[in-house]
Amino acid sequence: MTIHKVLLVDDEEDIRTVGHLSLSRVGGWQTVLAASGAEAVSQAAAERPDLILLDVMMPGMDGPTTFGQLRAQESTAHTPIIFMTAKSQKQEVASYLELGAVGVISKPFDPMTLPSEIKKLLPSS
Amino acid sequence: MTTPWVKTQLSKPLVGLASVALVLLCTLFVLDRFGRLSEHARVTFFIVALLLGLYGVVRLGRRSAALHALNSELERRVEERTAALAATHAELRESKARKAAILESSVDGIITLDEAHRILDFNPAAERLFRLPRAVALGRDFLSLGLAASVSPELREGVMWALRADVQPGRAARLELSSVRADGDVFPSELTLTRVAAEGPPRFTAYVRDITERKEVERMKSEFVSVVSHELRNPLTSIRGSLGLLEGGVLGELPSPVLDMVRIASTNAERLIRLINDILDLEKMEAGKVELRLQPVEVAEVVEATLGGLRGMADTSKVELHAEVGGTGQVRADRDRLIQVLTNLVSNAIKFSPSGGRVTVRALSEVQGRVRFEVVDQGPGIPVEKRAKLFGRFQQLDSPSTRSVGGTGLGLAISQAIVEQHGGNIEVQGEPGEGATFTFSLSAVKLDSSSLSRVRDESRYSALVVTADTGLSALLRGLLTREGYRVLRAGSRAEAEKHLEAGAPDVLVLEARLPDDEGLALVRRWREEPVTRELPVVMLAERVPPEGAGLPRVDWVKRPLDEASFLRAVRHAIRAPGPARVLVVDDEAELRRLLRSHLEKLGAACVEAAHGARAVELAREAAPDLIILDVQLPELDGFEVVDMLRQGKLRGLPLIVFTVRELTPAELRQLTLGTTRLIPKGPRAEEELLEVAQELLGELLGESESRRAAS
Repeated sequence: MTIHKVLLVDDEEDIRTVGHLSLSRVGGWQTVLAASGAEAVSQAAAERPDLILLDVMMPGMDGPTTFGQLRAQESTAHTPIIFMTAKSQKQEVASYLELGAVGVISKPFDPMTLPSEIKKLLPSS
Repeated sequence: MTTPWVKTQLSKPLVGLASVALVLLCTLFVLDRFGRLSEHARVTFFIVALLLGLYGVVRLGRRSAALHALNSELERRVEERTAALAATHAELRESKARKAAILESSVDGIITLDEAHRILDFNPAAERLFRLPRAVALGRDFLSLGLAASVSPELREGVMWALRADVQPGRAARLELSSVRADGDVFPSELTLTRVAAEGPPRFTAYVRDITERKEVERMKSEFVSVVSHELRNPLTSIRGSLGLLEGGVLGELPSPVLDMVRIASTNAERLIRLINDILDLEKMEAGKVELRLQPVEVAEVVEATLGGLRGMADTSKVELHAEVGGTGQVRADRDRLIQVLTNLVSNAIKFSPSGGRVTVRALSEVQGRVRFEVVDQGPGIPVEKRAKLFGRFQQLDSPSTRSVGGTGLGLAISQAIVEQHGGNIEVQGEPGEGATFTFSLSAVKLDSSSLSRVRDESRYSALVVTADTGLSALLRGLLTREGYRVLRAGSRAEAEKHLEAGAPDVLVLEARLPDDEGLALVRRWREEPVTRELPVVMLAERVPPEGAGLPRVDWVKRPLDEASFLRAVRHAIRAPGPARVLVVDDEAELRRLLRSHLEKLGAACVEAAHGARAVELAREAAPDLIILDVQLPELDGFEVVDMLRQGKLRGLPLIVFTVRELTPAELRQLTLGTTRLIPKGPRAEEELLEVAQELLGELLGESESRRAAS
């Protein structure tokens, strides 16, 4: 699949900044940011991204809850979602894949290879 | 009590002496009555009788004194015995009371069972634990009481195993499971079962401990570690990210001194990340939370994979890596974890080796069905007093050179934990000044059909190498492993047949002469069997017999071996029959058409893909014999295509990278499949491309009409 626009959701501003630079300058993608789960749901509906990068641990609505709301919303029901997590226990990764995420990226990520890691997780056709 | 005995002892000599005196007096009286005795004789008789009487009285006196002493001694002894007996009784009473007190006051439930698992005794703690009065518990089946319904069949079996009649007394089995109280409440429990060492029918003691609190603490600790790790990783994501972007030049080129500083910060951020990962890893290992995926693992392959990953480091340090793993077969291990241990030991060995030194990884079969791994270096060695601490946390020895050791100090602790979980132990030997040797051993896998069938790995081609020449066998294993084949080895026909029973490999590499058979006759025989009827064979011989060509699907390779032609023969033996297939991947239709027409003239069949995703699809549908790949492609780029093909059986495929893009050495390494060539696009590039293609396809192009026409 071809990506044009990515929505990056993380409650930490610094990570949003770094992620934004990586996705836009290294990946060459248009990047939209959201600082919370609620913001992610409204931004996703408005911006219609090709891909959503979703942090797991966020205050208020956490990643998995946001995931559920994005899936429930018609315009984002099928948008590929990749979780980003600072934990990396195998059962945790498995549980996100079971939810229907296309993949999990563990933090800290390398901004120079983040776009290619994302591409690897996406279906090839 | 002693009086009758004393009387008997006294009376015996007294009666004897009195009898003699009496007989003498009677004789005196009778003889005197008949006037037969002279006065002199009468006096003599009387004196003798008197003396005898006197003697008796003296003896009696003496004996009486001895007897009296004996009597006192006996009475003393009796008193002593009585006192000792009383003390023993008191001790017994006390011991019984103590035991009762232990049973009464124990926090653990202590339950005695008979051989049918019926409860014979039930202490107050057990009453509290199970909320069941002793009177009701006695005689009940322990298993239905102690084990919750949710306990897995495996654990249940473990309990039954510990309670079997022939178990050794004194050997305790400890299990963690769920128990159920009389009111149906389930709680986590630790159950220790042991057989009582006593005569008579088997008796068992079960100690039951409620571990609800421990479990809660474990959960809290795990949560704490997870939260801390999260709290550390988030800021590190920003730090590493910012530095990575600066270093990568995303925000513009940096002046050289600034870049140096950024690199220092970046290297240390990476180090901090490794440290956190190692702490978490160790934490998980020690909490027993890492479940090993134990499976038969080829020793040679694991050593090769380890050394392959460390060659760059060894080259930089000018250290030579060397492996000695002849014929050690397989061990039962978690492959990734075993590689982690070996990587740690070998990288340590490299760090402590002098420039020009050598690090040897050795695997040896031991008699007890284990394989011993040794990592030997020529460094300064480890003083005896430092060895004990070596496996502790944050232990680092000083490096002999100025090279930064740069580890986290947790590597050996983690490695030790991993090996321990495999049932082994890492040890260190070697005198200071003579290098260090780290050793550990793992269980070997016996060569049987069940273990062989378990190791079938669908992501690679398997090759069975049959030769009695161990040097050749090791060489072929190395060559084939490097190309991504899974290699099975046999030294004789008998061993080869054992492997074949477990299922046919994708290709058989056979030496023409075996100690117990002749190669060609053997292949003919195997061709009669349904499993091996279609099996492709690569035969190694010093002389290729003319009749060799008569046997279908047998390729001959001449010894001494030319590596490239051997690998080509193996690849060609596995491929489906037909002309050479070339997959051309380029987004320029004009170029694809041009290459196709040239290649078809050479006798090859071409398939075209305009983007990466299509290329992967086509390659997986029917394996090509060669890929010609552009790097800048829509959908998936060249790197991603190679990445995906590397995951499966196509990782050994010959590849020509045909691109205008300038590639760095790192990028080129990423773009590698089997034999890989880079041809930059440009004037006369097509000619070069066709030459290389001919070389890589070799005899697959055959002597077709079209090839002759082309040349």
